[in-house]
Amino acid sequence: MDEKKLLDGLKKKKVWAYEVLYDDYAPRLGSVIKSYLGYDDVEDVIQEVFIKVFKNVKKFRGDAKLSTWLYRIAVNVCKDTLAKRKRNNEFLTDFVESEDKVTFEPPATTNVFGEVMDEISFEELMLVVGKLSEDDRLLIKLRDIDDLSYEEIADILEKPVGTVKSRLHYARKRLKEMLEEVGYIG
Amino acid sequence: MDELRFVRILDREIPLEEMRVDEKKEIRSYVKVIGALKESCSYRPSDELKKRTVGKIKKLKSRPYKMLGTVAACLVLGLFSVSFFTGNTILIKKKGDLYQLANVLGYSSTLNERLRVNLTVFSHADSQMNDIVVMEKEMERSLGFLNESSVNNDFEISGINTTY
Repeated sequence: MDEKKLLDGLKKKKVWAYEVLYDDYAPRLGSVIKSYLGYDDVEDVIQEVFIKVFKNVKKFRGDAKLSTWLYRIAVNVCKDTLAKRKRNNEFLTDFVESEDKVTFEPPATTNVFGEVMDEISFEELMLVVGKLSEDDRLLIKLRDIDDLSYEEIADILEKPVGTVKSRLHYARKRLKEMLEEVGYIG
Repeated sequence: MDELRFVRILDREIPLEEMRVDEKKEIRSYVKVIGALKESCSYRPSDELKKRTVGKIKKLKSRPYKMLGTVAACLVLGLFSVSFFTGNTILIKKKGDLYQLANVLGYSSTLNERLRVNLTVFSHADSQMNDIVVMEKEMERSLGFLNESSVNNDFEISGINTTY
């Protein structure tokens, strides 16, 4: 559907527009949320994102792409969720010593996955990915998986392009080093 | 491989033809990991979540109308109660000093009679004057005998203060 028409529908608070938005963007947003937070809270965060869109869509001037704006909301909600989670963890660690490990749902068996899994186990890969910080994972997800431009990522994260480039550089470096440690890249 | 070159290759700044064999192998491994990561991050939202989300949006959409309805209902109820209570009021007047004094002296019923008779329009000063005159007359009528010679007043005065 035409983005302008969709945006018009969203601003007029038409239910059909929100249904279309959900169909078009929920999988992409869910994927970003999952890469940032792990499997937990994905549904709650998606719901929160759509509620924020409903409440703030009139403020959206259309300077950026709708997808960029949605990603930005999703990232901000993720950050809030993570902060809440950390607060809760701090409280819980008073009672139980536990590590905040990111859990990923086992993926469907595909060729790509199968090829990698010949050389490295799923657990090992998830351990490597889990060792990356949330921001590193998000940057790699946005750039290397979703193929967004540096400008779009900078817009989503509300950071200068130079900062994004430098952070992504270090995120990739860290991932590469970790893969070298497990002997996948040598 | 040099880090900067690795990043440049990933950003497609270096074409495939310019890559060395060992670089290609390294990049291929990295891309495979990214592919696996993509698979593990893939998300398919459920229809149930869609229903819940759209339902919540519908609720939010109707909330201002609901609030408006509630406010209107409260206004109507308020107006109704104001008009009801103003039309059905019992005026309760606080008794003044004169009434209290008359009560102490046991003349309240007589005083009420007199006051009712004297309910003409006075200015505030006049009405205060009138009260004082009435009070003085009543005092004189009830306790005037005390001015008489002590021979005639050879008795003991006892009373009960009924205001406490």
